Amino acid sequence: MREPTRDQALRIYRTMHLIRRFEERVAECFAAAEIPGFIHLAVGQESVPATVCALLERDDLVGATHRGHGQVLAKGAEPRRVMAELFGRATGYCRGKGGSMHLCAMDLGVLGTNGVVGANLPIAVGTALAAQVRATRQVTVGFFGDGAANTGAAHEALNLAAVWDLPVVFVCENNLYAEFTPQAVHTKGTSIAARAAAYGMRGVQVDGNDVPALFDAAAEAVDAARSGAGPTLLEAMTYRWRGHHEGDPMAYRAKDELEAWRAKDAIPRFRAWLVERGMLAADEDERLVGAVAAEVDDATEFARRSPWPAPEAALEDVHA
Amino acid sequence: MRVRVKIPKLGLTMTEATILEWRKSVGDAVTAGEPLVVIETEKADVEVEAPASGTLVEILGAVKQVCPVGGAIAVIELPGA
Repeated sequence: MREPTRDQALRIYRTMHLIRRFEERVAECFAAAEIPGFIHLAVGQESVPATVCALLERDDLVGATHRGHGQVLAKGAEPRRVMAELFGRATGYCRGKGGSMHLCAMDLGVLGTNGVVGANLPIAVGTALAAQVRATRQVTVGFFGDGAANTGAAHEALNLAAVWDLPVVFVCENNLYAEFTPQAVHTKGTSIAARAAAYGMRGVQVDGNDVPALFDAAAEAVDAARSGAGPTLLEAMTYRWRGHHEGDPMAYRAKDELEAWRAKDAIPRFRAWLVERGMLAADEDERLVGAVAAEVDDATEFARRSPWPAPEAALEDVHA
Repeated sequence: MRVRVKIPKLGLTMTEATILEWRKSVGDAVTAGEPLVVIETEKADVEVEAPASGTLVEILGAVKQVCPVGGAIAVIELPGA
């Protein structure tokens, strides 16, 4: 079993805290009408992008989802510029024109979050094909959810990636709900990873809230992609603590289901693992959590005081 | 210290909500996270939770009243104030 180094482990732990704090702040700002548009938060799912992206190089690529703030932050995006983008301000990664669901950071290999469920996967296959043709050794990660698994785009992407042995890892953040529909209602069977066999690629289902187990599976998948051994379908079982979108009253699920998953929260579980291995002292933990809180405060203030895009810039950076 | 309870934004195009039912009365103790008031938006009826624990000292939004997003509808006084 491959274990994260101390540096990797602390990076994963810090990123999980950052995503949690960031997303909770976004919820507050959205409720206060400071953020336009629709917002989908990934509170509860932080361990998946934090762990997978800790295995990537800077020039590796990530295709993110509509629930993708955490995936973008985990790939190394600055919280200030992500928050400013959500606020629609000129200092954001896309100068305020992308927002939550079209958030690109090409210099970090972030191909964009995507408002269309499953639509990021063919894009991930495209960059993986480019990397193969150019022999750059870059790996692409395509994140998706259990809902996207049943889209035609996902099927096309998985099949092409397998048949061409492309350097891509398909990471299914299975949060058990496609929008408002539980998995049992939209999918027969309990394993999306099992479909990998039919595509002719490796498939692994893992507890996404168990960071060391997820790290082991993701490390193997990333190594396989980088070494030319083709794609993997990695299914990380996790849970969305908030609604499909902010404002969703969640009348479709039982409160005790949420409580059961809160008890499986990846953050304290991984903290216990770190402490057990002597990688994290109590005062270090306190410092880290405090630093993350300050970073999110700073990002929020930065977004609030940033200017709106100028009206005369409306046609810049826009493609149709 | 007092905390104002405001109408949250709950959707893409939501600009206002109608107060449907108060779950608490003035003078009641409230706990952060417990349902305080039901509001009607263009999409659904939604329970708004108390943002802080304390005493509900004022209700500003009457039942059937239409209130803008961000508008204050109640005041909670925190303990020790």
